[in-house]
Amino acid sequence: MHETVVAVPEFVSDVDRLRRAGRLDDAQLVAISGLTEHPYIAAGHHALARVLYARGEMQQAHDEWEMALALEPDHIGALKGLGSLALTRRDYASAERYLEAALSVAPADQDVVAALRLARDRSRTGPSTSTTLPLGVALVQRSTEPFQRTVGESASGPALRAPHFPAFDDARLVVAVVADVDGFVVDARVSPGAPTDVAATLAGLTRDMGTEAALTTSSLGLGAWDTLTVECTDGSIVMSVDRARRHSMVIAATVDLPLGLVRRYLTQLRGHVEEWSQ
Amino acid sequence: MTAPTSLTVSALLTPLARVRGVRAIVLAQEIDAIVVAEQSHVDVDVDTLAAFGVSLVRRVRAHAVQLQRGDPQIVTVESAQGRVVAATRRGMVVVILTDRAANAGIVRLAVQRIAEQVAI
Repeated sequence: MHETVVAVPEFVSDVDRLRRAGRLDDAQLVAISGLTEHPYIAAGHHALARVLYARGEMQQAHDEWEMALALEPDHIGALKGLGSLALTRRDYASAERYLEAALSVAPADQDVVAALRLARDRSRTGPSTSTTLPLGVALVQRSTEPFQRTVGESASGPALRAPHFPAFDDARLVVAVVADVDGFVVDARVSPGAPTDVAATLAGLTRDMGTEAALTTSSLGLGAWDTLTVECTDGSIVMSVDRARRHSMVIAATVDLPLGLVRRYLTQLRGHVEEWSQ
Repeated sequence: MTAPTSLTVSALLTPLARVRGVRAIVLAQEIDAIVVAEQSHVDVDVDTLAAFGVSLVRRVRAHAVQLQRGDPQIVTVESAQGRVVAATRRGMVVVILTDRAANAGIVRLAVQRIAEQVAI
Protein backbone atom coordinates (compact mmCIF):
# COMPACT_ATOMS: atom_id res chain seq x y z
CA MET A 1 0.00 0.00 0.00
CA HIS A 2 1.20 3.44 -0.85
CA GLU A 3 1.53 5.67 2.21
CA THR A 4 2.29 9.35 2.60
CA VAL A 5 3.48 10.90 5.85
CA VAL A 6 2.09 14.37 6.40
CA ALA A 7 4.37 16.40 8.66
CA VAL A 8 2.75 18.86 11.00
CA PRO A 9 3.68 22.46 10.16
CA GLU A 10 5.37 24.71 12.69
CA PHE A 11 2.29 26.86 13.26
CA VAL A 12 0.72 24.11 15.39
CA SER A 13 3.42 24.29 18.07
CA ASP A 14 3.31 28.12 17.87
CA VAL A 15 -0.44 28.05 18.56
CA ASP A 16 0.05 25.76 21.57
CA ARG A 17 2.83 27.94 22.93
CA LEU A 18 0.75 31.11 22.61
CA ARG A 19 -2.26 29.40 24.19
CA ARG A 20 -0.22 28.21 27.16
CA ALA A 21 1.10 31.77 27.56
CA GLY A 22 -2.49 33.00 27.74
CA ARG A 23 -2.21 34.95 24.46
CA LEU A 24 -5.45 33.56 23.08
CA ASP A 25 -6.06 36.27 20.46
CA ASP A 26 -2.62 35.72 18.96
CA ALA A 27 -2.99 31.95 19.19
CA GLN A 28 -6.28 32.07 17.31
CA LEU A 29 -4.87 34.33 14.60
CA VAL A 30 -1.85 32.07 14.07
CA ALA A 31 -4.10 29.00 13.97
CA ILE A 32 -6.50 30.47 11.40
CA SER A 33 -3.66 31.73 9.27
CA GLY A 34 -1.92 28.34 9.44
CA LEU A 35 -5.08 26.44 8.60
CA THR A 36 -5.69 28.64 5.58
CA GLU A 37 -2.42 27.33 4.17
CA HIS A 38 -2.70 23.80 5.58
CA PRO A 39 -6.41 22.97 5.83
CA TYR A 40 -5.86 19.20 5.88
CA ILE A 41 -3.82 19.08 9.09
CA ALA A 42 -5.88 17.54 11.88
CA ALA A 43 -3.42 18.72 14.54
CA GLY A 44 -3.99 22.30 13.35
CA HIS A 45 -7.75 22.02 13.83
CA HIS A 46 -7.14 20.44 17.23
CA ALA A 47 -4.84 23.30 18.24
CA LEU A 48 -7.45 25.85 17.19
CA ALA A 49 -10.16 23.91 19.03
CA ARG A 50 -8.17 24.10 22.26
CA VAL A 51 -7.81 27.86 21.87
CA LEU A 52 -11.55 28.22 21.27
CA TYR A 53 -12.26 25.94 24.23
CA ALA A 54 -10.07 28.14 26.42
CA ARG A 55 -12.08 31.15 25.25
CA GLY A 56 -15.34 29.43 26.12
CA GLU A 57 -16.44 29.21 22.49
CA MET A 58 -17.69 25.67 22.81
CA GLN A 59 -19.65 25.34 19.58
CA GLN A 60 -16.73 26.51 17.48
CA ALA A 61 -14.35 24.28 19.43
CA HIS A 62 -16.73 21.40 18.73
CA ASP A 63 -16.70 22.19 15.00
CA GLU A 64 -12.90 22.26 14.89
CA TRP A 65 -12.60 18.94 16.71
CA GLU A 66 -15.16 17.47 14.33
CA MET A 67 -13.01 18.67 11.49
CA ALA A 68 -9.91 17.09 13.04
CA LEU A 69 -11.80 13.80 13.34
CA ALA A 70 -13.02 14.00 9.77
CA LEU A 71 -9.41 14.29 8.67
CA GLU A 72 -8.05 11.75 11.15
CA PRO A 73 -10.73 9.49 12.64
CA ASP A 74 -8.53 8.25 15.51
CA HIS A 75 -7.16 11.65 16.53
CA ILE A 76 -6.86 11.22 20.29
CA GLY A 77 -6.94 14.95 21.06
CA ALA A 78 -10.14 15.47 19.08
CA LEU A 79 -11.80 12.42 20.65
CA LYS A 80 -10.95 13.65 24.13
CA GLY A 81 -12.03 17.17 23.28
CA LEU A 82 -15.41 16.05 21.96
CA GLY A 83 -15.82 13.73 24.95
CA SER A 84 -15.07 16.66 27.22
CA LEU A 85 -17.63 18.89 25.52
CA ALA A 86 -20.25 16.15 25.73
CA LEU A 87 -19.56 15.78 29.45
CA THR A 88 -19.84 19.52 29.90
CA ARG A 89 -23.28 19.61 28.34
CA ARG A 90 -24.22 16.37 30.17
CA ASP A 91 -24.73 14.41 27.00
CA TYR A 92 -23.41 11.22 28.54
CA ALA A 93 -24.27 8.91 25.66
CA SER A 94 -22.14 10.96 23.27
CA ALA A 95 -19.42 11.31 25.89
CA GLU A 96 -19.29 7.53 26.25
CA ARG A 97 -19.03 7.08 22.49
CA TYR A 98 -16.13 9.52 22.12
CA LEU A 99 -14.32 8.34 25.21
CA GLU A 100 -14.59 4.69 24.26
CA ALA A 101 -13.06 5.57 20.92
CA ALA A 102 -10.35 7.55 22.74
CA LEU A 103 -9.66 4.60 25.03
CA SER A 104 -9.20 2.28 22.10
CA VAL A 105 -6.52 4.65 20.78
CA ALA A 106 -4.87 5.35 24.16
CA PRO A 107 -5.75 2.50 26.58
CA ALA A 108 -3.37 3.76 29.30
CA ASP A 109 -4.70 7.30 29.45
CA GLN A 110 -5.97 7.70 33.02
CA ASP A 111 -7.90 10.89 32.26
CA VAL A 112 -9.90 9.03 29.65
CA VAL A 113 -10.46 6.07 31.97
CA ALA A 114 -11.74 8.37 34.74
CA ALA A 115 -13.93 10.40 32.39
CA LEU A 116 -15.40 7.30 30.80
CA ARG A 117 -16.21 5.85 34.21
CA LEU A 118 -17.97 9.10 35.11
CA ALA A 119 -19.91 9.20 31.83
CA ARG A 120 -21.09 5.61 32.28
CA ASP A 121 -22.02 6.25 35.88
CA ARG A 122 -23.97 9.40 35.02
CA SER A 123 -25.75 7.81 32.07
CA ARG A 124 -27.10 5.19 34.50
CA THR A 125 -27.90 7.47 37.43
CA GLY A 126 -28.64 10.73 35.63
CA PRO A 127 -26.94 14.11 36.04
CA SER A 128 -26.32 15.11 39.64
CA THR A 129 -22.94 16.71 40.28
CA SER A 130 -20.81 19.42 38.78
CA THR A 131 -17.69 17.29 38.55
CA THR A 132 -18.05 16.92 34.81
CA LEU A 133 -16.61 20.30 33.89
CA PRO A 134 -13.24 20.06 35.70
CA LEU A 135 -12.75 16.55 34.39
CA GLY A 136 -13.63 17.75 30.92
CA VAL A 137 -11.14 20.58 31.20
CA ALA A 138 -8.49 18.12 32.35
CA LEU A 139 -9.16 16.01 29.30
CA VAL A 140 -8.61 18.92 26.95
CA GLN A 141 -5.62 20.37 28.76
CA ARG A 142 -3.75 17.09 28.96
CA SER A 143 -4.70 15.74 25.59
CA THR A 144 -1.76 14.33 23.72
CA GLU A 145 -1.64 14.80 20.02
CA PRO A 146 0.00 12.67 17.40
CA PHE A 147 1.94 15.14 15.30
CA GLN A 148 2.09 13.00 12.22
CA ARG A 149 -0.67 11.63 10.13
CA THR A 150 -0.37 8.62 7.92
CA VAL A 151 -2.60 8.63 4.91
CA GLY A 152 -3.04 5.33 3.15
CA GLU A 153 -5.03 4.41 0.09
CA SER A 154 -7.76 3.07 2.33
CA ALA A 155 -8.41 6.57 3.64
CA SER A 156 -9.58 7.76 0.26
CA GLY A 157 -13.25 8.22 -0.45
CA PRO A 158 -14.34 5.55 -2.90
CA ALA A 159 -16.83 6.35 -5.64
CA LEU A 160 -19.70 4.13 -4.61
CA ARG A 161 -22.43 3.11 -7.00
CA ALA A 162 -25.55 2.52 -4.96
CA PRO A 163 -28.64 1.89 -7.03
CA HIS A 164 -30.41 5.06 -5.86
CA PHE A 165 -27.78 7.36 -7.25
CA PRO A 166 -28.77 9.25 -10.40
CA ALA A 167 -26.72 8.80 -13.54
CA PHE A 168 -24.69 11.99 -13.62
CA ASP A 169 -22.76 11.91 -16.86
CA ASP A 170 -21.78 15.55 -16.77
CA ALA A 171 -17.98 15.76 -16.59
CA ARG A 172 -18.23 19.25 -15.08
CA LEU A 173 -19.71 17.75 -11.95
CA VAL A 174 -16.71 17.08 -9.69
CA VAL A 175 -18.43 15.20 -6.90
CA ALA A 176 -21.91 14.46 -5.60
CA VAL A 177 -22.27 13.12 -2.08
CA VAL A 178 -25.02 11.94 0.21
CA ALA A 179 -23.82 12.24 3.80
CA ASP A 180 -25.34 11.22 7.11
CA VAL A 181 -25.80 13.57 10.09
CA ASP A 182 -22.35 12.75 11.41
CA GLY A 183 -20.67 13.76 8.16
CA PHE A 184 -19.95 10.27 6.86
CA VAL A 185 -20.40 9.32 3.21
CA VAL A 186 -23.56 7.33 2.53
CA ASP A 187 -23.06 7.41 -1.19
CA ALA A 188 -20.89 9.34 -3.59
CA ARG A 189 -20.05 9.81 -7.19
CA VAL A 190 -16.66 11.28 -7.96
CA SER A 191 -15.42 12.39 -11.40
CA PRO A 192 -12.25 10.61 -12.58
CA GLY A 193 -9.96 13.64 -12.30
CA ALA A 194 -11.00 14.65 -8.77
CA PRO A 195 -8.82 14.08 -5.69
CA THR A 196 -9.43 10.62 -4.25
CA ASP A 197 -10.56 11.87 -0.84
CA VAL A 198 -12.88 14.60 -2.13
CA ALA A 199 -16.09 12.73 -1.25
CA ALA A 200 -15.02 12.09 2.34
CA THR A 201 -13.81 15.68 2.68
CA LEU A 202 -17.06 17.10 1.34
CA ALA A 203 -19.17 14.83 3.54
CA GLY A 204 -17.11 15.85 6.57
CA LEU A 205 -17.76 19.51 5.83
CA THR A 206 -21.52 19.17 5.44
CA ARG A 207 -22.13 19.26 9.15
CA ASP A 208 -20.00 22.34 9.64
CA MET A 209 -21.57 24.23 6.76
CA GLY A 210 -25.03 23.12 7.86
CA THR A 211 -24.42 24.44 11.36
CA GLU A 212 -23.37 27.82 10.00
CA ALA A 213 -26.38 27.98 7.68
CA ALA A 214 -28.72 27.01 10.52
CA LEU A 215 -27.27 29.69 12.79
CA THR A 216 -27.67 32.31 10.08
CA THR A 217 -31.31 31.60 9.22
CA SER A 218 -32.46 31.04 12.79
CA SER A 219 -30.79 34.23 14.04
CA LEU A 220 -32.42 36.27 11.29
CA GLY A 221 -35.89 34.86 11.88
CA LEU A 222 -35.98 32.81 8.68
CA GLY A 223 -36.56 29.43 10.33
CA ALA A 224 -34.82 26.27 9.20
CA TRP A 225 -32.51 26.50 6.19
CA ASP A 226 -32.95 24.19 3.21
CA THR A 227 -30.33 25.09 0.60
CA LEU A 228 -26.82 26.55 0.77
CA THR A 229 -25.16 27.75 -2.43
CA VAL A 230 -21.52 28.81 -2.62
CA GLU A 231 -20.30 30.36 -5.86
CA CYS A 232 -16.52 30.49 -6.05
CA THR A 233 -13.91 31.64 -8.55
CA ASP A 234 -13.20 28.04 -9.61
CA GLY A 235 -16.58 26.39 -9.22
CA SER A 236 -19.59 26.01 -7.03
CA ILE A 237 -20.81 23.99 -4.05
CA VAL A 238 -24.52 23.45 -3.49
CA MET A 239 -25.89 21.68 -0.44
CA SER A 240 -29.34 20.67 0.74
CA VAL A 241 -30.61 18.90 3.83
CA ASP A 242 -33.28 16.27 4.28
CA ARG A 243 -34.14 16.42 7.98
CA ALA A 244 -36.73 13.66 7.86
CA ARG A 245 -34.20 11.18 6.54
CA ARG A 246 -31.24 12.72 8.38
CA HIS A 247 -29.20 13.14 5.21
CA SER A 248 -27.33 15.98 3.55
CA MET A 249 -26.82 16.13 -0.18
CA VAL A 250 -23.99 18.18 -1.61
CA ILE A 251 -22.56 18.73 -5.07
CA ALA A 252 -19.32 20.42 -6.10
CA ALA A 253 -18.98 21.49 -9.73
CA THR A 254 -16.53 23.26 -11.99
CA VAL A 255 -17.03 26.88 -12.92
CA ASP A 256 -18.21 25.82 -16.41
CA LEU A 257 -21.38 24.22 -15.07
CA PRO A 258 -24.18 26.82 -14.85
CA LEU A 259 -25.47 27.31 -11.34
CA GLY A 260 -29.05 26.58 -12.36
CA LEU A 261 -27.98 23.19 -13.65
CA VAL A 262 -26.02 22.41 -10.46
CA ARG A 263 -29.17 23.18 -8.46
CA ARG A 264 -31.20 21.00 -10.79
CA TYR A 265 -28.79 18.11 -10.24
CA LEU A 266 -29.16 18.63 -6.51
CA THR A 267 -32.96 18.46 -6.77
CA GLN A 268 -32.59 15.30 -8.82
CA LEU A 269 -30.28 13.82 -6.22
CA ARG A 270 -32.69 14.73 -3.45
CA GLY A 271 -35.54 13.04 -5.29
CA HIS A 272 -33.51 9.86 -5.66
CA VAL A 273 -32.61 9.84 -1.98
CA GLU A 274 -36.30 10.20 -1.06
CA GLU A 275 -37.21 7.39 -3.42
CA TRP A 276 -34.43 5.18 -2.08
CA SER A 277 -35.38 5.88 1.57
CA GLN A 278 -38.93 4.71 0.95
CA MET B 1 -9.67 58.06 -8.61
CA THR B 2 -11.00 59.25 -5.28
CA ALA B 3 -12.11 56.78 -2.63
CA PRO B 4 -15.89 56.35 -2.40
CA THR B 5 -17.40 58.25 0.48
CA SER B 6 -19.95 56.73 2.84
CA LEU B 7 -22.64 58.72 1.07
CA THR B 8 -21.77 57.39 -2.40
CA VAL B 9 -21.42 53.84 -1.10
CA SER B 10 -24.82 54.11 0.53
CA ALA B 11 -26.24 55.36 -2.76
CA LEU B 12 -24.93 52.20 -4.44
CA LEU B 13 -27.29 50.17 -2.28
CA THR B 14 -30.41 52.18 -3.03
CA PRO B 15 -31.50 50.54 -6.34
CA LEU B 16 -31.35 47.09 -4.79
CA ALA B 17 -33.22 48.25 -1.68
CA ARG B 18 -36.13 49.10 -3.98
CA VAL B 19 -36.34 45.59 -5.45
CA ARG B 20 -39.51 43.84 -4.34
CA GLY B 21 -38.91 41.44 -1.46
CA VAL B 22 -35.57 42.93 -0.39
CA ARG B 23 -35.74 43.67 3.34
CA ALA B 24 -32.21 44.85 4.07
CA ILE B 25 -28.78 45.40 2.52
CA VAL B 26 -25.61 45.98 4.45
CA LEU B 27 -22.08 46.62 3.37
CA ALA B 28 -19.58 45.47 6.00
CA GLN B 29 -15.88 44.88 6.42
CA GLU B 30 -15.01 41.21 6.32
CA ILE B 31 -12.35 41.51 8.96
CA ASP B 32 -14.66 42.70 11.76
CA ALA B 33 -18.22 42.76 10.33
CA ILE B 34 -18.50 46.48 11.06
CA VAL B 35 -21.27 48.04 8.97
CA VAL B 36 -20.06 50.64 6.48
CA ALA B 37 -23.42 51.39 4.87
CA GLU B 38 -26.94 49.99 5.03
CA GLN B 39 -30.47 50.30 3.72
CA SER B 40 -33.08 48.40 5.67
CA HIS B 41 -36.64 48.04 6.84
CA VAL B 42 -37.21 49.04 10.44
CA ASP B 43 -37.64 45.47 11.69
CA VAL B 44 -34.21 44.28 10.56
CA ASP B 45 -31.18 44.34 12.85
CA VAL B 46 -28.44 45.27 10.37
CA ASP B 47 -25.61 44.49 12.78
CA THR B 48 -26.90 40.94 13.19
CA LEU B 49 -27.29 40.60 9.45
CA ALA B 50 -23.73 41.82 8.88
CA ALA B 51 -22.32 39.55 11.58
CA PHE B 52 -23.94 36.40 10.24
CA GLY B 53 -23.27 37.26 6.60
CA VAL B 54 -19.58 37.79 7.31
CA SER B 55 -19.37 34.69 9.47
CA LEU B 56 -20.94 32.64 6.70
CA VAL B 57 -18.47 33.93 4.13
CA ARG B 58 -15.51 33.24 6.38
CA ARG B 59 -16.67 29.73 7.18
CA VAL B 60 -17.29 28.68 3.59
CA ARG B 61 -14.01 30.25 2.45
CA ALA B 62 -11.98 27.70 4.40
CA HIS B 63 -14.07 24.86 2.98
CA ALA B 64 -13.99 26.13 -0.60
CA VAL B 65 -10.20 26.25 -0.47
CA GLN B 66 -10.13 22.73 0.93
CA LEU B 67 -12.33 21.56 -1.95
CA GLN B 68 -10.20 23.40 -4.53
CA ARG B 69 -13.13 25.58 -5.67
CA GLY B 70 -11.21 28.85 -5.22
CA ASP B 71 -12.33 31.96 -3.41
CA PRO B 72 -16.04 32.34 -2.57
CA GLN B 73 -17.79 35.17 -4.42
CA ILE B 74 -21.44 34.73 -3.47
CA VAL B 75 -22.94 32.64 -0.69
CA THR B 76 -26.71 32.11 -0.47
CA VAL B 77 -28.69 30.42 2.30
CA GLU B 78 -32.35 29.73 1.64
CA SER B 79 -35.22 28.81 3.89
CA ALA B 80 -38.98 28.66 3.44
CA GLN B 81 -39.22 32.24 4.74
CA GLY B 82 -36.43 33.95 2.86
CA ARG B 83 -32.83 34.18 1.72
CA VAL B 84 -29.56 35.60 2.91
CA VAL B 85 -27.16 36.47 0.10
CA ALA B 86 -23.59 37.51 0.85
CA ALA B 87 -21.16 38.66 -1.84
CA THR B 88 -17.53 39.27 -1.02
CA ARG B 89 -14.77 41.21 -2.78
CA ARG B 90 -11.46 42.50 -1.48
CA GLY B 91 -12.26 42.50 2.19
CA MET B 92 -15.78 43.88 1.86
CA VAL B 93 -19.02 41.89 2.14
CA VAL B 94 -22.45 42.89 0.85
CA VAL B 95 -25.20 41.03 2.69
CA ILE B 96 -28.84 41.02 1.63
CA LEU B 97 -31.91 39.71 3.39
CA THR B 98 -34.91 38.98 1.19
CA ASP B 99 -38.33 37.39 1.33
CA ARG B 100 -38.69 34.10 -0.46
CA ALA B 101 -40.80 35.85 -3.08
CA ALA B 102 -37.95 38.14 -4.18
CA ASN B 103 -36.56 37.40 -7.64
CA ALA B 104 -33.36 35.50 -6.79
CA GLY B 105 -31.77 36.09 -10.19
CA ILE B 106 -32.19 39.86 -10.02
CA VAL B 107 -30.95 39.99 -6.44
CA ARG B 108 -27.91 37.91 -7.33
CA LEU B 109 -27.00 40.12 -10.28
CA ALA B 110 -27.50 43.28 -8.28
CA VAL B 111 -25.42 42.11 -5.36
CA GLN B 112 -22.66 41.06 -7.73
CA ARG B 113 -22.64 44.54 -9.29
CA ILE B 114 -22.52 46.24 -5.92
CA ALA B 115 -19.65 44.04 -4.78
CA GLU B 116 -17.71 44.82 -7.95
CA GLN B 117 -18.30 48.56 -7.62
CA VAL B 118 -17.32 48.58 -3.98
CA ALA B 119 -14.13 46.66 -4.71
CA ILE B 120 -12.83 49.21 -7.27
